[in-house]
Amino acid sequence: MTSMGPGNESARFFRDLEQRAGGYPVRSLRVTAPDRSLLGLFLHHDQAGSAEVEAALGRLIASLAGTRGDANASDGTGLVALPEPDQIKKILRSELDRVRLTRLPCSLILLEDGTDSAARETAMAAIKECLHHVDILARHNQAELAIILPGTNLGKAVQRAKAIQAALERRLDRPAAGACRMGIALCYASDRLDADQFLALAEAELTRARRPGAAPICHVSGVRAEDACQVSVEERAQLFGFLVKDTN
Amino acid sequence: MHASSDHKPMIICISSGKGGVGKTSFTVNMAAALAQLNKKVLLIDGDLGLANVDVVLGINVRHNLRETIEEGRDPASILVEVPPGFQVLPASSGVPEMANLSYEEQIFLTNTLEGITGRFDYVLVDTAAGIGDSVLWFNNWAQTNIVVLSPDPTSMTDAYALMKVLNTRYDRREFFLMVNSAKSKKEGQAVFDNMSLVLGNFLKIKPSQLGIMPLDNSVAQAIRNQRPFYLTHPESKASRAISEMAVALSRL
Repeated sequence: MTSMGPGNESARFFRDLEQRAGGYPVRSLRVTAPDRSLLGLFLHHDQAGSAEVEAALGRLIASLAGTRGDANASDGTGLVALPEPDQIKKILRSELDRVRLTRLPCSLILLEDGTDSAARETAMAAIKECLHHVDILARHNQAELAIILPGTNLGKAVQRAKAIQAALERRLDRPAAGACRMGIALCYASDRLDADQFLALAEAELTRARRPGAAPICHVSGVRAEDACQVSVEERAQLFGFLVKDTN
Repeated sequence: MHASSDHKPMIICISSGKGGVGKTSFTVNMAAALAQLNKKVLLIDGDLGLANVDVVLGINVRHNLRETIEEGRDPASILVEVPPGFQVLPASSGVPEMANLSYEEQIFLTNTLEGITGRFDYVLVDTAAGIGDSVLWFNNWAQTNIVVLSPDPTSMTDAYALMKVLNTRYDRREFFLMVNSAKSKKEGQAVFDNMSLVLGNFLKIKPSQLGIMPLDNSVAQAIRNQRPFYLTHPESKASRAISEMAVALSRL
């Protein structure tokens, strides 16, 4: 449980914390005094093991601390330490559970981590400046990073990827030709993907983006997700067919 | 009837795709009809950026959902009780940011709303027009989706497009159709039958018919008077249609 003294500042803090909790696999319960003033929040998760709860709460508090000018949660470079590759599937499972529960989509960006150790800190800072605080940055493997974008559709994920690419080019002083390659996958509730399938979709897109002459950002499901909903000529014809008969 | 704290309300989302087909009027009158059946009803104005449930009901609201989302105000403190005994959760008007809630705000709103819905039997959500994020989100939050349409090609296209998006992207398969402003029962039935045919042919889904609301002068008159026609013109054709639909909903 977390608590603070009374006042507008603490009310804002709790509301901020409560909102941010929505982006993590935790739920928040308000703890109020008899006069209904907010004493604190109890954050819990009833599906995950304690290690996962601890990690999620750590990220939540760290993200909050980041905007409150508190450097306690950083790894010394001004950046929150990344979840390791073995954690990414766990995090993805949790996010896919949330997709099924909320029916809000989730996007996944895999990107090359082609920087050497000297440039890594700069690259990470460039990526971080483009992320929203519910987004989760993790290491996928030695050569790739993963960014999980909860509640983000494909269009917004592509925008985010382009912003990251621009930030990397700017910060690393890298020409556009050497653009970072990215693959984006998208999951809606109706897709019923598991973590492995979701990752595989993003991996396939990253592989596509690495091919000579390919666009540096490739994404899956564009046609299915964005255009499959468009009302076709055939559908329109049937929708109005009976009206035409009435007027003839 | 008293709903217990662990009671699960029926959450019903009312949408149309196109604006101006009578969605808010239908929702307000349905809330009144269900309240007269002694049901505990909460009407949420789901048009978060251009709310007008309060306008249709002729009530002046001091607080709205914007304060809940932006300032953490307890939603129970902004509820307004209106005759014949249902509660309204008003939203803001003229605030574009409210029409585009972030992921966190949507999750926050879900948690907040679920904190107050347990005391009701029915929660009706009157959404905005269109197929924006908040419309899709409210439709997914609800267990029951009502789509209002009229015998107008643009209304039919938009209603179909809304159901297609909800079905294709979110796997929603059950829709109740309410045909509004029908010149005759025959016309209303033809609209329903045809929409049902198209949904079956292309999306393989079979909608249910909630009802047909006939064209009725009392509807426009009640809107101008900012009162539900169900209360001002209880014997009108429109009120009788609403009664039948309320009974049908209460039997689900």
